[in-house]
Amino acid sequence: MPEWKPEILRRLAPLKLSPTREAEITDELAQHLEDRYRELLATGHSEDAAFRTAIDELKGEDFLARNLRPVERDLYREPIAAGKDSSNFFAGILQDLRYALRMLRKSPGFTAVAILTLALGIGANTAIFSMVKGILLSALPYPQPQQLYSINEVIPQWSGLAPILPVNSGNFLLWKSRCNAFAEMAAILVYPYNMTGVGLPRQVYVAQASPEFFSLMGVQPRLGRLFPPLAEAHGQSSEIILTEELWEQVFHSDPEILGKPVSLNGSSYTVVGVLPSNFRFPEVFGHAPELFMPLELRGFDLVPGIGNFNYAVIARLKPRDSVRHALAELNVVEAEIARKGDRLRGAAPGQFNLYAKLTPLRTMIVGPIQSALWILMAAAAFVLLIICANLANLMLARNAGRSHEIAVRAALGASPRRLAQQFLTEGVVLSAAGAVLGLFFAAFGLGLLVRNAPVDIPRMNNVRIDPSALWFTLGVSIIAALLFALLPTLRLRRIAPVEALRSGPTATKGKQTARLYAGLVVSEIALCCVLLSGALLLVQSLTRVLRANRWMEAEHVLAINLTVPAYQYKTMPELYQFYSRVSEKVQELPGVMSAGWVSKLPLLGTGWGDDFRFREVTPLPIRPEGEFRFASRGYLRTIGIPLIQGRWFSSEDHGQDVAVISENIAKKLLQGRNPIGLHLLWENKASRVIGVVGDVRTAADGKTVFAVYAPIWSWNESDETLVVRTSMDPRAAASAIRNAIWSVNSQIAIPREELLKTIVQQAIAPRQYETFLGALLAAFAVLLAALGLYGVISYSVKQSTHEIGIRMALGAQRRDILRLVLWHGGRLTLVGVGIGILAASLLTRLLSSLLFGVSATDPLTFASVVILLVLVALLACYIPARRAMKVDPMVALRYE
Amino acid sequence: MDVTTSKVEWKKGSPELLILSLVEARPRHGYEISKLIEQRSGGTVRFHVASLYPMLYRLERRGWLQGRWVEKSGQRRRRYYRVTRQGRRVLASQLRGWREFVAGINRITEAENA
Repeated sequence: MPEWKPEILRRLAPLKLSPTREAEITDELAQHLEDRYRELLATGHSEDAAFRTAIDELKGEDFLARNLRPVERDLYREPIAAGKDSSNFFAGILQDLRYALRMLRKSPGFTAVAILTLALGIGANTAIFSMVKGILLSALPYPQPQQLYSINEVIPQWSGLAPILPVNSGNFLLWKSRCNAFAEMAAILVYPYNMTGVGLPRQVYVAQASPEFFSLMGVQPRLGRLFPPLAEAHGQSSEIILTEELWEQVFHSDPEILGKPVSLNGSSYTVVGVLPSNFRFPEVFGHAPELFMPLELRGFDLVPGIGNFNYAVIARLKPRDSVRHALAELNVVEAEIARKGDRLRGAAPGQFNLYAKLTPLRTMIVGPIQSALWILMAAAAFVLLIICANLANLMLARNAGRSHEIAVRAALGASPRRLAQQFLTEGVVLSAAGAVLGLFFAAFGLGLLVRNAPVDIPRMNNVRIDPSALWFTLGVSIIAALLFALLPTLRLRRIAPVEALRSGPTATKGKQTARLYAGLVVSEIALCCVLLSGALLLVQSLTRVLRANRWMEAEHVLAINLTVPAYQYKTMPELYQFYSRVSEKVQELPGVMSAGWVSKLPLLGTGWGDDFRFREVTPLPIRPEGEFRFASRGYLRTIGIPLIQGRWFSSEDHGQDVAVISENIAKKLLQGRNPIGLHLLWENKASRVIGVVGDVRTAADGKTVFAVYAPIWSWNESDETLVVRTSMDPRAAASAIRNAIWSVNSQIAIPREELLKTIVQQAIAPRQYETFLGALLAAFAVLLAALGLYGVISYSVKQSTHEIGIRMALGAQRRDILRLVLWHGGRLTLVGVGIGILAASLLTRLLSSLLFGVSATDPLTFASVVILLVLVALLACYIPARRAMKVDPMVALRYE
Repeated sequence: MDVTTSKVEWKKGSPELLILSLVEARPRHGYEISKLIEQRSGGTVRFHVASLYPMLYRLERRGWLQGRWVEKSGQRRRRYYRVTRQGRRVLASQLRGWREFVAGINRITEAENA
């Protein structure tokens, strides 16, 4: 039989057709020539003559090509099935894209699962990234915000009480005159004032600020002017500047406000300016102020020293100066102050060390949420990695089913690179769809996250999906596509087309593939293990924080923080008069069970801190720092702190120096000695200890402090909190309580009452929020890992139906098969959990700052992670195992 | 109809007309088409492989024909061509033109010979 094809191919060569088209034409033409040849033979021609006549049909060497060229030139399209290296890069991409879409349409289940999980993973990453971006990364709304620093002071000997301190005003003035590294420096003190004369008395937060504050923050007034640049030491001004909010709320945006008087704490001030609405006070320097007045420093305030650390200081570094240089300059001054000591405030020369601490303003504002956000970001990335591992497994399984197709394409000349490109395209298509859907999820989820965010999380108003989030999404989806689509193609190099074609579509998977599957599942479980350990540690911390503060969650207790105007009550006895008259009046109200005063409620930060010792006990080398609270007779009963020993203040203690201490002082500092009757030495006083009460904290997840309670008649502050326990809804009693206070002093501003319960809830809310997010991601991870394991085990059961059949035919019981399959999954799980626990024990250390009452390597937590994951894994394997048990050996052996 | 144009179209269209009319009744493969043309024209019209197939591909590209590989047991696969709906319309209009042309020629020649 003559060979026609070489003849035809030679003539087609100049056309440079695509391989499939060329093959088609060759086939068709060869068939024609063959028919012609047979016919000629049948009509008596010799083989030689028949061949020549037939070949003559092709005419000259270039006749066919010339005729075909106009037809085939435009017709040329890359064949869809094969895929030799294309000369046209974009044609190749388009073709891959078309093919990818077709393949994905063909398996809608796989496609839907892949897109959905990717969308959830990418969405979670984008949402959390947007939070990281809005809160941590985006610039503060001030000019050149990177030059802004907050300055604090540090006294190592006091670190037990306060690791960093605000600033002494005298020290601030010294820095200002001596340090050249700073362009500007301003001190701020925020304090509540009574504003009268405009409706009801109103408590307003006033910032006393150095005149430089506004130029430092880059603010221009909306109306009027700012403060003239006068040194704080000379300030003697009665000018105030309003924030837009106060101007709007209280003065109804009066355009004629400039020059008008405002009464604050009994003195008259003149409005000289209004700030623009876009000005944001750095939250970190205290309550957001509603108006500003120039800082005035007088007398004692001008003396540098150790003590009276009251001011927040903000400074702008000169553009070319370094933090190191600035800090060195500050610390030269600090060392000098420490060396001299402070006789006025009772610090001997050299008794304390004093350092300055420079913190970027942004870090200061962001505060403790920073580590939580980065950890959540990492958790989201872990979840995405698990999703990628899952998809890589699914892709592998699909590729195994497609080995015939891949072999055909390889045989037709597709290089492994070209095939990889095809699979990558499929990955990119999935990932792109996942990213688009994920953006919707992210936008929706972020809306929920922002709406439900606790008030304590700073800069939440800055969180949105912005262009950088879109770039992030794009980047993440490309990385994801590379991970889950390229990994399975590593195997393509090993495809032997001949064998794959011979064994047909059910080509068995190789050992390497099995190892790849196992590796992916193991890494999924390991990642999941790390996430779950972290999440469980956070959950445990949360439950411990909740438990530690449960005593405060009383239903019927409300608190009102009053700032009693110092111009009306100038001495402690006067203040005491006021406090006791108010509590008498309030106690008489119907529905009020008890009422009391305290200088600082638990969980709301530190109050008066001072060192103390007991006269009868040899002092420890480092004197303990106490949290001093000045409380009235009714306080303990009202707030519900338990009495452990002795008694609380009563009327018979009046005029005496007595004190009540918290339990941990008795336990930790007195080594089992009975505290009752001992004398506590503080502030030139020797207070007799009459009772021991339960411990309190200054933050929901802080340590318990050494709390010392002194009766309100022996010491008090002009800022105290009234606590009232009612027998009914405390909000219903609020207005009566308000009137009772006003009946004692009608000039006092009464801020909104707060429920004790709400104070606790707000104190715990950020932790609850972070823990919820972490737990959500971990739960998602467990689900994904279980799905991944399930997928691999069911695939392997399907692949080994034949083997199971043989085993059963040879007498294996269903029990044995069950054990076989479970062991297969169990082995993978154990390896994954082993690696995971190891990694977790290293990584959970990063969580330490977020943990409460549980160690980062808590064995109980790790054990429960192992148990939980093993149980989930067994469940995931049990379903395919049951399928394996039902294998009918007859059917299985026939099945191939 | 403008005669000059019609004539030009004519020359160009005639092989196409032949092929379309041959596959109108049922799908045929290339060899069969060339065989039929040769037989029915009594050997006066013959298409070589090198001209027949480019023409088939062109018709297929225009959407007048549709080719399909058919495999029968024991044989090599063959490509069968059938006329599409569009092809049928083209065929009908070309046949009409052809008949008008032939009728015109006949009228002229009959008048001469009568």
